[in-house]
Amino acid sequence: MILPAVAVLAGTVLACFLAILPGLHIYNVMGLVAMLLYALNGGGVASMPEVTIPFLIGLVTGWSVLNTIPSVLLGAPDESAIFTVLPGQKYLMSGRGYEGVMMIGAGSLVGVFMLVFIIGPLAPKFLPVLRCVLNPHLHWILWVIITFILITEWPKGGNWGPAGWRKFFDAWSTLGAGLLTFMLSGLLGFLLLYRSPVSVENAFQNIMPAFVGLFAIPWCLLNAVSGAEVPKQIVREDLNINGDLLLRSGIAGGIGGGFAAFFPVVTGGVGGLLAGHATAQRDERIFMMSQGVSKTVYYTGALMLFFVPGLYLTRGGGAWIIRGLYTPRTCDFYLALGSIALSGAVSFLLLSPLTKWTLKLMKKVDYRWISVFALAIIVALVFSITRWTGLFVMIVATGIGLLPVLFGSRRLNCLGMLLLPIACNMSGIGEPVAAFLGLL
Amino acid sequence: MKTNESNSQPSYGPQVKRPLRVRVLQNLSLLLAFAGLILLYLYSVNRGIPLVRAGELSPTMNFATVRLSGNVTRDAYLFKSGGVVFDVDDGSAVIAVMGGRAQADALKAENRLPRRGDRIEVVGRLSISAEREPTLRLQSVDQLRLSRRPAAAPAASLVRLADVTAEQEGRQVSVTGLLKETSLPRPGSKAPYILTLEEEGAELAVVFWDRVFQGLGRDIPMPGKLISACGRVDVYKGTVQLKVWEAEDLRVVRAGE
Repeated sequence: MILPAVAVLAGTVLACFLAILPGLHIYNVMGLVAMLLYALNGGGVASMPEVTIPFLIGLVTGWSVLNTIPSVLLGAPDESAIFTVLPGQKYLMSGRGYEGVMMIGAGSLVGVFMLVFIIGPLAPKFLPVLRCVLNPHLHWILWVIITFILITEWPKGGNWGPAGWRKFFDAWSTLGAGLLTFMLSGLLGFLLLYRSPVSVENAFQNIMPAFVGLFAIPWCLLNAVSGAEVPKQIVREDLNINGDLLLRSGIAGGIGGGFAAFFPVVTGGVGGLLAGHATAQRDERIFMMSQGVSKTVYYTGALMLFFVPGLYLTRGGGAWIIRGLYTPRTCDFYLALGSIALSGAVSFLLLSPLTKWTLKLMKKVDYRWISVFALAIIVALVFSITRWTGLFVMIVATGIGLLPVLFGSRRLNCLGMLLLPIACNMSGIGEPVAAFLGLL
Repeated sequence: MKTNESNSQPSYGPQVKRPLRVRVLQNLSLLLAFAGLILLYLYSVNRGIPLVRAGELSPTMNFATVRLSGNVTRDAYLFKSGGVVFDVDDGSAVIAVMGGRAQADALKAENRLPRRGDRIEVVGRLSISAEREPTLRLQSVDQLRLSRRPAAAPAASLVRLADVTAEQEGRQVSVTGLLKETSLPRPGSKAPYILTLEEEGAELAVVFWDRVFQGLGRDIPMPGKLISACGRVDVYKGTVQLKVWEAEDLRVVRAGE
């Protein structure tokens, strides 16, 4: 009882520090933790599941709540929070960054409540049935999601001036960049899936450098070269939200995040996209809170599904890492739910002081240097796990990840790295495509 | 922050003479993406797929695309739901190789389903469970090279029951012992059939599933009979057992044999 609680708290507190660093993804840190545990096991020291599971759940839950801070204040989201940047930046530039963070955090708290009190108790009964029903249809649902991602990209140029080829190309530059990003990251995905250049000894992290390059590095670089000055921030203890707004954001975000957590390959970014489309036209506050709900339900929910009796679904990088360490038992479900509840509560309580501390830090240290520092840590992490070939993959992925940043298209297109090869495999055409590419 | 006199736009720091255009950066990122991807592709396809030994696999190798070479120790088994599985012994350990429906259909159509004793070289993706039980998942039947066994399959070494220990996990062995007791699964259960053999005070559980039971003509020997079994040594929940995959590997020893 005491040991798991201490492990959850330790994981959540560690997540506090990790969440502040822009661009650093919790799955990368979990990979490092897994390597340490493998080394310990190899050395004859057995890891206790009562400690490692709550610790890892504390890491993921804490991070999913607290990574709102760099998303809003430092403009460096992970792919699940990319839709919070624009409204978050608006709050930040009007001196209300704290309010923005707390609103998204309130959404995260709603997400934790939904997981512990609604989804968790119902999951063992309904989700195994749902999986059986949906399993034969997953391939075409994935193609629908891909189509949705591609067709919801909108042209950001070509609004002004006389009609003609120039206006046409101007409008299509964004759309073309989006399609190109999707295709290139899809090709990279095929390469990593069938012929990963990452050393066999560390293959369990073979897509990590690509993810870092596609998502983390471009934002860190962009922040580091950014010239924008952050205005003076005001800390208001009352948030302009009520129960009705929370409920509406909870429904939209819960559906988006739940969809992402349940379906294979679909990530938090897609969950955010779905939640955003359901709420964007209504109210900016609902939009922001729904993003908080979505990312927490995605990250923490995907991990929870791994422990659901009769389901034991492996979704998301966190669950895949834990799967290599431990086979869940029925009783672990209660341990997982308890850990999520405890970590969710503690991390939300930490959100306010940590945001205030970050605002103070930003006054003293230029946030560009924080990004440079985070960049150095991320590169060191990639090198320590995957060595030179990992850095090579990371640089190539950075080139692809910079395309949406520089051309103004959506960064979600980078998810083609996972979506394209897996959708092809599920449809039975992965092998011919890989053979055509010379990868077999 | 200063104001640029020429266009009254705010600028940071002194104005440079030839400011860098965004288009240059866009083109540079395109160049990086294309050139990098081509180089990565060339590196990956020319590197070759590394040959690994089943006994030296570690959990951090999970998801690696690797090559394995060895002898097939269990005939390919086709699942009713589609898919195929067979065992390969590369001299260091035995590893299960699994394929999907497409691979199973292709192997069957080409009459290339691996049989015990065949020499095989196969490429696939490793999947290592938390119990450190590795399996290799076939990517394509084109990456499977098969040499049919020229003569009889190499016989498994005959050992005494007392000598079957956890250290021999993964090894193919033959044992003989007196049948002490039998344990049959309940109807509909996926649990195995267990025959407990006894020899000179040592006991060993011989484990098999419904396919072998059907192969035995749904006939389980009575306790007291002398049984010969050939299978793979395995450790399940700390107990050493012998897993038998083929009905022909389990038989009653007649008097005089």
